[in-house]
Amino acid sequence: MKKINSNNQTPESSNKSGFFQRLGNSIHAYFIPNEEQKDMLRYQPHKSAYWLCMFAILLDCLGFCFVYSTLGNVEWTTGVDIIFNILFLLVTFVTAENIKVYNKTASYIGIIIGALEIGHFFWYSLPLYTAGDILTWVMVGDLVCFIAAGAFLLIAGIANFYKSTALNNYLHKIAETDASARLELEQKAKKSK
Amino acid sequence: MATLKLNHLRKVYAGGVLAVEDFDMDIADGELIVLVGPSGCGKSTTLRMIAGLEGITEGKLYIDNKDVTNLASKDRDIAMVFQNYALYGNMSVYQNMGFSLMLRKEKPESIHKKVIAASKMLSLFEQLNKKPKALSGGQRQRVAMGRAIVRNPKVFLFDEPLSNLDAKLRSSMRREIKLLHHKLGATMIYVTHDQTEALTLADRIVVMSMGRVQQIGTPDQVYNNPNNMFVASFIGTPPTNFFAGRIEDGHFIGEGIDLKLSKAQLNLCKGYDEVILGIRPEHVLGLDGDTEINVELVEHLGSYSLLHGIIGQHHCVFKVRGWSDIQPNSLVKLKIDMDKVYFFNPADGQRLRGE
Repeated sequence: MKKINSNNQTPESSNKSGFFQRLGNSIHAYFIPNEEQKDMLRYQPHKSAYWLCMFAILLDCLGFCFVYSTLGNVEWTTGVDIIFNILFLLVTFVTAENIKVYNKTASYIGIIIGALEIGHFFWYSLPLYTAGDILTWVMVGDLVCFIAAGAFLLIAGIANFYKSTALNNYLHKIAETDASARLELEQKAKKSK
Repeated sequence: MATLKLNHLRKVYAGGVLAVEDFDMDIADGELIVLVGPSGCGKSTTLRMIAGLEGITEGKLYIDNKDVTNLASKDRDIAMVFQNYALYGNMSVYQNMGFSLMLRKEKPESIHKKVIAASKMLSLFEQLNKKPKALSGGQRQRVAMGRAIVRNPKVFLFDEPLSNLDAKLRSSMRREIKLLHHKLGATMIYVTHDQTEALTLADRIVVMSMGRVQQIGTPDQVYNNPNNMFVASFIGTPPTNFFAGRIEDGHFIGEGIDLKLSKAQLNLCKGYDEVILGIRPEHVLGLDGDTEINVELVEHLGSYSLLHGIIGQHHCVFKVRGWSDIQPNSLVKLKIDMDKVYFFNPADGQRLRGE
């Protein structure tokens, strides 16, 4: 006979719900930091979001390689795509560096280029597949790479938005009593100019 | 914090080079021990043996009664502060201080609390986001100290941490280290070649020379009761003046110097025809005595003046209070404080202490 705890759960089900609860708490804590975590944001770079952007670059390069390793017909859209990829790499890298220091503007850019990257599959790779210019495995590869890259950028952008907002509000709150917080706000204001 | 027991430690390098000979000492919990001596005397080697950065040729090392002689550095629970700071240039102050805790896989919140607390203790709170290259020498050294403090080790080891700093900064950092010791109550071992640091910081001083311990004692003991000529000359600025001479008719007679000795002093010198007399520069009672010095140079240092001169053939330095109006190339008769002179055996330099 299985033991049931006070929440009418078996040990197995309570373990599962505990796991999901912990997962939910971790996700919540990641996007919405508490007071102590806000103070920690002052001294620690936003590494997780930075590496999400770096992986997005890697995936975009991979998707690019998939397409151009098998592409037969070269048209004007090919040139546009190449330029898009170059700009994507550049903008994503710069965005990653700014996301690392909780720059709020970088959040918006991250979200925009994330959406563009997802759209990239639909306006370039999918039509090529439909026209028979790329093989099925290339299309699937692009699907995974571009969608994942876009998703990573969206997550990085959204996380950075919440964290940079939280950090900014926190600095304003403690600026009256903390000279180093005032200094940080001044430096942020100078950089944004 | 912890007790240490250094049990007849010996270090011999390949090729037979003896670095440390028979270092034997017990260190109590919370003591600040300073190892002092000239360059090459074995003090840093001793410190590195304690840290586990050097192997121990003979002897045993115990930390909190646990034999750590063959234990790796990382397992000894010690923290070291180096002369050249050894900070990571690509990391901020915050990251430098928290790095060892991160390697220990401590929780980020716990690391944060410890780093903030240490930074406030060391007045580094406003520098936490800066890189080491943006800091002054004193700030960098404080970061190195903070990095040690956050680990809450059993023993702190300092290897000439103030040597790279200018004189003024050294003075202020000395005070900070002393205050830190009071705050933490930690067991600390500090290596320096600067005897001023030794005298101001130490609970006990270990004077070393050529790999051997010359004397272990409190600053008062080491300064006012030196064991031998080396300790008497090394500790104290300017160094002790030494005069070779003989005991004759109740007097110490050397070249250009003739001093009447008390009964107690004659007892000390019993059995010795020749002795070496040591007089600290400040043990001068006045300028109305019998010991004539030919003054070559007068250094005015504000609250006191240094008279550099010759007694017989001996070059010596004496300290007189105030801004002296004595002129160079003049003869001055010093009154020596005979209660404070030392006698040494000329054969081995050991202090004569009587029977």
